[in-house]
Amino acid sequence: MEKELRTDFLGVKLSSPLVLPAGVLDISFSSMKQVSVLGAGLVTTKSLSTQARKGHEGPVVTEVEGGMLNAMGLCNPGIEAGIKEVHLLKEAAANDDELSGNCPVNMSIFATDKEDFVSIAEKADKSEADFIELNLSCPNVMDEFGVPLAASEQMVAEIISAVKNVTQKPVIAKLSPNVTNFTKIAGAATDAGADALCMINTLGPGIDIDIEMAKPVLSNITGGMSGPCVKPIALRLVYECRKAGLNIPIIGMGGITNGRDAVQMLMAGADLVGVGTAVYYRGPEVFRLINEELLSYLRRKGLDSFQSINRII
Amino acid sequence: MIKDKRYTLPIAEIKEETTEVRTFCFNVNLDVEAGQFIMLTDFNGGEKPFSISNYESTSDGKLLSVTIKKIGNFTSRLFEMFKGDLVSIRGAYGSSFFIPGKDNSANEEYHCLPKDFKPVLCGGGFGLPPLYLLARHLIDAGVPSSNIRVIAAGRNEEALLFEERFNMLGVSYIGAAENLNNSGHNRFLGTAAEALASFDTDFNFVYASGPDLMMKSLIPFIPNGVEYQFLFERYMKCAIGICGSCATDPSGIRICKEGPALWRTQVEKLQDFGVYKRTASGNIESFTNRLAGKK
Ligand SMILES: Cc1cc2nc3c(=O)[nH]c(=O)nc-3n(C[C@H](O)[C@H](O)[C@H](O)COP(=O)(O)OP(=O)(O)OC[C@H]3O[C@@H](n4cnc5c(N)ncnc54)[C@H](O)[C@@H]3O)c2cc1C
Ligand SMILES: Cc1cc2nc3c(=O)[nH]c(=O)nc-3n(C[C@H](O)[C@H](O)[C@H](O)COP(=O)(O)O)c2cc1C
Ligand code: FES
Repeated sequence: MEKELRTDFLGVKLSSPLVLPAGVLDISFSSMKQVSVLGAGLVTTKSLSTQARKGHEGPVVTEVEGGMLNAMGLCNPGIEAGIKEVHLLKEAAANDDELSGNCPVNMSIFATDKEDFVSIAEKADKSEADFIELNLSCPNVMDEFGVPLAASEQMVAEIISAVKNVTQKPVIAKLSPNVTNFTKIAGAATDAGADALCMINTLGPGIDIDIEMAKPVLSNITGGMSGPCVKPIALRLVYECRKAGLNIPIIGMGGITNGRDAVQMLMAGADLVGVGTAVYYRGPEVFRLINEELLSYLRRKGLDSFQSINRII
Repeated sequence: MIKDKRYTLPIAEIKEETTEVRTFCFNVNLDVEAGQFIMLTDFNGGEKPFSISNYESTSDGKLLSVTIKKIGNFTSRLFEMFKGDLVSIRGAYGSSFFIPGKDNSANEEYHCLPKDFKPVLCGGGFGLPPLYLLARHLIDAGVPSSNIRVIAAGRNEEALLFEERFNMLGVSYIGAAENLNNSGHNRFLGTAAEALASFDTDFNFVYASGPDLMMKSLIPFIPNGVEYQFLFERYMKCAIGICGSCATDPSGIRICKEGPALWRTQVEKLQDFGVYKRTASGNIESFTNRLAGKK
């Protein structure tokens, strides 16, 4: 990858600031490898739990104006299988001419309480993943798990420090936008020792209704919103973290679909930029395309790296 | 603007094919190619993929058919529905079967109708119905119906679907099964692969659709240099290429996007073909365990 796009994130070299976020093309090593080859600097696994989960019955996704709602229901093959996929990914990357072994991986994990988070993190610590991401925020399993953990400053802080105690790997906290005290929670995560923040998880949740049958489209009724319609909120939340003086690496995501969006996210204060739902609009090639669009912006502006893009604060 | 449109509409017609198999028809105008599939839901928990078995013009406009086998919860619920009941579909999704003369071929040689195009269409179980739409499109593209041979493979006579419909097209239909009471006209006592072998390489293209193991068993009988396309099934959730549920190994080909119809060059690189599938959770389930009923 071009030198203007290279970066160092928590001590790991990335070929691009673009990140594949949890939940998109990341169940198998094959999908994650494909996305790496196409230009993502970092790939995140599907959020993994102690046991395999089938997820919700379909429909699990529905396109809405400006984006989509999803209620996958945190389907995942379980932490052990996830660790194996990461091993296969690293092995495949080592044998790949284009990657030549360089395929940083962020392992997303989730649980319902602190004890469970710690026991999964202990396993993730022994994996070949470079980072551990704590999904504190999925809105789609509330009936099962109650309010998102990310709504409580105290819970967030306790989980992060407990996990930090059992792993040497950098720990990233994935935050929910669906709270009233977002910057306080981001601050609590930072103070508790998180190495980076990842924001935003899906917004809402929202509802789509089929008017012919008078039924909710999603079998879970509600689903988290993603895609272009959430971008202004994602930009605002990243910006507010910076404005509140948080000096922690941030992976910014939410509706990033093209180079202009990515530049905006960097200007709002992100260090890396996640690209999820855009895979639907532009295919997995979206990573190659946004890298090119980012480069052409840098060259037009005479900037020698994406890190030279000015923040608005 | 919403790209992925949903159509909620009444079932226009239900045809009983066998006790276990029914064809459901809908009046709906979609862009449809042979080999593609739709997602169907009753908004009662569950949305499942089904291949399009026919798409035709009628006096009421376009009529789309899917042919469904009763297997589990979802399909059993469909079998309790009547003409006029509402269901919801979206699609059509995925890659389609190659039609000579159409520019959807990985192999340039096939961009025009090869002289004497002689395809075999081999379908097992509910893999057969999509081959009916394919046969129609091949004939529309100028392939003489006498050049088209269909192998319908199944466990027994009851599993051999669509015979009358294929016969009406004028293609030759061979029902292959290992348990047959009468092994008379148009019947072959044996497997799909044995039926294909009996053609003694007198074909220059193979289309297959059905269980992995059936399709895999055909490969030794397809000579080098003969192109083929297989129609794959993997666990589908989003059907729009983002969840990764249907991805194959090792290159991440998504069966809902780059598939379900894959070309020989793609099939040859698959490591999961006939070996394992991923389940709803993403876990690997090997076909040998499946056959042994262990799950
Ligand atoms: C591209 C494609 C085309 C298909 N075309 C047809 C068709 O034309 N006619 C037909 O009868 N069936 C078809 N199927 C299979 C059909 O989707 C399943 O039979 C159906 O989902 C079973 O649901 P169930 O609840 O009745 O059974 P379950 O008890 O839930 O499942 C029985 C089996 O069906 C399969 N299955 C279940 N859910 C899914 C899913 N979401 N995606 C893929 N497979 C699943 C699994 O192998 C499972 O073991 C197709 C599948 C795919 C992937
Ligand atoms: C289909 C789908 C599945 C997702 N699954 C997860 C998940 O398992 N864990 C998680 O932390 N976030 C998950 N997310 C949220 C994304 O990681 C991301 O935070 C969000 O979609 C916003 O980015 P986007 O607009 O670029 O998609 C999922 C999103 C989508 C669309
Ligand atoms: S079913 Fe979701 S990617 Fe194919």
